[in-house]
Amino acid sequence: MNTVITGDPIRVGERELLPLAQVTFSGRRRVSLTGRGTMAQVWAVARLRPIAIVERGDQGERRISIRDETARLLSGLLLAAILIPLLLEVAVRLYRRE
Amino acid sequence: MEAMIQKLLDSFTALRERASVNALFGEPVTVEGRTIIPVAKIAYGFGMGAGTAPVLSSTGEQEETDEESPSQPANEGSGGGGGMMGQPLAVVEVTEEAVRVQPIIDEQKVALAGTLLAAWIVGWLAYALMRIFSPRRTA
Repeated sequence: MNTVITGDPIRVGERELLPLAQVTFSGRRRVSLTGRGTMAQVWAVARLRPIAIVERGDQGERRISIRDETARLLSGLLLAAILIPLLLEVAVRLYRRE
Repeated sequence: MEAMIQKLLDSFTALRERASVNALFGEPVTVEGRTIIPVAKIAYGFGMGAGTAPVLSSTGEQEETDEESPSQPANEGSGGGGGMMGQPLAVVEVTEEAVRVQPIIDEQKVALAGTLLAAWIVGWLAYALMRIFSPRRTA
């Protein structure tokens, strides 16, 4: 389940900042009642990630995105780790075909 | 036992409802005309389980339950665990002129991943060069 929720406004001077976050919730609950016994299991995981801050002032509203730069860099490195061996493989095959 | 199961189910619902944005944005701190708001991402979770089984006799047969004494002992067990993780993500800087978001990069994590990537690429390069310069087998 993915939802975007709004926090309490933060007032800084003339400005009002409204935080926005994405909540990813996954979980399961299971109860089984059988003749041989009772069993209950519950697990839940919640991830909260800030996505933006909305600035409200005299000049209106402005949405400022909050990006996870570390995750972006790590994704880039992962992509490079997949693409570079593929490119090398293509280069070797082309070279050996000649 | 029913109370324990109910408690498990209640905690499940509570976790879902308590997810609040306010946990991600810290208290604003004003220094020399600048206001700084720390921003973090968090993740948390838990797992629990409980169960009962009827008491078995020495022959493995299920013992008869006495209807008049429901408090007859049964095999019961329960357990659980949970965890929480927080990571700084950015700093919101509010000045008189503008509101800016300064990202926080986990340099240690990126450096470690970069080193691993470099080793990975060197390995693949060596493998590619070996294949290029190795004599070809003829049938």
